[in-house]
Amino acid sequence: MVRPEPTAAFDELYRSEWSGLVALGWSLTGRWSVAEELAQDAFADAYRGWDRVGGLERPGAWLRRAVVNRAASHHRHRHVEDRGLARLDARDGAGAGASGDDPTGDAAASRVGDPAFWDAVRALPDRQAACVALHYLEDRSVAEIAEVLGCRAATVKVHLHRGRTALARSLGEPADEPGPGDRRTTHQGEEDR
Amino acid sequence: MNDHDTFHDLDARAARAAGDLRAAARARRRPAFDPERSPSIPVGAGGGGDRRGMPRRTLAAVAAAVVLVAAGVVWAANRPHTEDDGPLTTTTDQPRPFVLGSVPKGFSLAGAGEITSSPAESGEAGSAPLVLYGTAADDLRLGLTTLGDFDAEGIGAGADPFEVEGVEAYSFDGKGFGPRAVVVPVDGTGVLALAPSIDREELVGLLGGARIDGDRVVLRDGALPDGWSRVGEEPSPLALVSPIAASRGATGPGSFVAYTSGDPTAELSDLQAVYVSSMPGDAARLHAPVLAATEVRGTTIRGHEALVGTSTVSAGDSSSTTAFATWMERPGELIRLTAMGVPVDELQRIAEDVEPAAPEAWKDLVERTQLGEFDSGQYRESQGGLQDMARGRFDDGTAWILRIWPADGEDATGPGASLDLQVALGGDSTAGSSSGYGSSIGGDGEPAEQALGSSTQLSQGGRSFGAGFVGADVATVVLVGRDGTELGEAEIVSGLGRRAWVAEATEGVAEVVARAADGTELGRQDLGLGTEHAPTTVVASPGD
Repeated sequence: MVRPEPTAAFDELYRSEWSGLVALGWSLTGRWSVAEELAQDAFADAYRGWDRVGGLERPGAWLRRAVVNRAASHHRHRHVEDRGLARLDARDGAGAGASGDDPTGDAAASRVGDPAFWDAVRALPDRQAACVALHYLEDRSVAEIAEVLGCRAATVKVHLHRGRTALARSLGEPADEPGPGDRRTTHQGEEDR
Repeated sequence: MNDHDTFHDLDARAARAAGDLRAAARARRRPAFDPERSPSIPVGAGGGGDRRGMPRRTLAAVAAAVVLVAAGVVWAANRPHTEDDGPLTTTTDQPRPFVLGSVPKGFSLAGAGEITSSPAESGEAGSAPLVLYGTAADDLRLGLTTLGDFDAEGIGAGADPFEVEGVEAYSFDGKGFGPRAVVVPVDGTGVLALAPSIDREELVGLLGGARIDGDRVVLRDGALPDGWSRVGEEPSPLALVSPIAASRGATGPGSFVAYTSGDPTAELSDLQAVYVSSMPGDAARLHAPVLAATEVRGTTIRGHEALVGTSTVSAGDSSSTTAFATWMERPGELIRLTAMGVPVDELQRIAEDVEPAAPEAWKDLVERTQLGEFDSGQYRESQGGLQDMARGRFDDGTAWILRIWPADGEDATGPGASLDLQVALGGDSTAGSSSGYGSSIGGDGEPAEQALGSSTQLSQGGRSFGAGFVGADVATVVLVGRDGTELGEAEIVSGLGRRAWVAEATEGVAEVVARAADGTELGRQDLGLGTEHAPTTVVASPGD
């Protein structure tokens, strides 16, 4: 197969995957500004390594792994600071909502529904959060998540099980659950995927 | 309600939340891709994000950074080193690192670091130098800096727009940069002016003589009021208002140590922090805080002329006050203490207890910080309960520490455990040389007796490191190149009931091979270095 001309192929990848990566980044960091930086960095890495990445069957999976890993690094190094900024963002968001301004861009976070759900996701250990986010946000199967994260399906099952159990607990639900592969959530309108 | 119903509800809730998030993401503007972009995450996007190709931040974002308090030292990064031509800072000797002679009651050491680079060109709002004007270095009247591309619509909540003779201007008086803070567009660039003693209309008129000179704002010849001159500069205006400016590199080259009190995961109002920074400085830098201070007074600290004061940031209904104390310990050696949650009189008392750190003790302190030894228990708990497994040094003396990350409900010997490797490379503590970014291979659910279990890789400071669990029968772990060439041997360590290999993955290393004592190969594992496995490897750009 002849690989598409790099610029055109990359542009198409950027167009088609951008918002999906940003959503994934937001689910893991809770801030639009950071999510967009994560996506930008992932695409920058892909662009620099396009000879390799462009030849992958699913470069979107490669990009998602970059976002997930960078989000984990960001989380580890900026954990406390992010909590502070998130609080301030929330305050700014309230004001921005009234005035129509969104000075940092992060105020838009306040417009994402059910922030408590995503807060609970982000409270999970990084790997569980990544599995849960990919499962719910992108409706990915265990095998697909394993491909994205570069680990075994069994590992993903463990993380999904623990993550969903913890989510249920933290959101006020009982802890026991069917296995993560027992039932899948169906999402609509996923043209970003 | 049975369990199936319960998780049906959870999944339904997740589906609604996910759909909403996807819609919100799609609604956001997709910026043009910048092929020249340098990696910026996970390096210091906390208060910034104002990078090429991204929407410019405004003063509100700058102010937001002010109230960030880190309980551990938060290593902001992405501070590309540039030749800072600031001509007015003189240094007779390299400033010494300073620490507190005794840790204040209730506080604990949170870490220490060194900064070797300028905050300029980080791309973050507020990272450009603040050019200082006045009648003398100890009589500052005006500070000017750029905020990047001017965007009237994005100037931010809280601005008070006004107009002076057709010039649009935005007042941020009392919102974080002192009693007089005005933003005006100059040549398409947002210019922030700090001038506590100047009427805002007069200030806007004065800015009619401003021009952009690289990443600096300067007043044209002839535009200066009588008796004024350019007397110096501060590396970043954030250095004047943020209690954690040093850990974000905003103070420029120097060193800092942080002390905190309270639960780092608690509300900001419950936290206290004191930063002790030392940096090259002159009289202008000594007096620079007056431009952004809410209150300031002269005093004496350790026998030197000093300034103490406060700076208050307002954000919505909340406000935060930073206290500062600053003096010249000796010519060219500027000391600044910044604090949050500490009254200024108490900070002044603490400042009297500052003392230079002994070189070896300082080196050890920075190294231990880079190894994460001051990470709070709460932080570790939030990360799943990291536990120290083993520590050592590579051949070049670089210290490393290996920690185990138990899976939920397990201890370190459980099958779901994974490894966390930290190395202390020294160098700039706000840059990537002190904070690496790793990825993992293999994973949980693997039996502990497996020859090669879960492993981790770390790219930091242009070098790569790795570690992984090994089984009881493994005698050696060899580093092998793509062509099968043996390139070295890993160190085998043990702790917490586990065994692991640790090594620097020098150039060409592609996989590790585990062997028994008799040489029998027990397993091999691709490290993913330099392959399509590893998008986590951050290219060692100057910003790293």
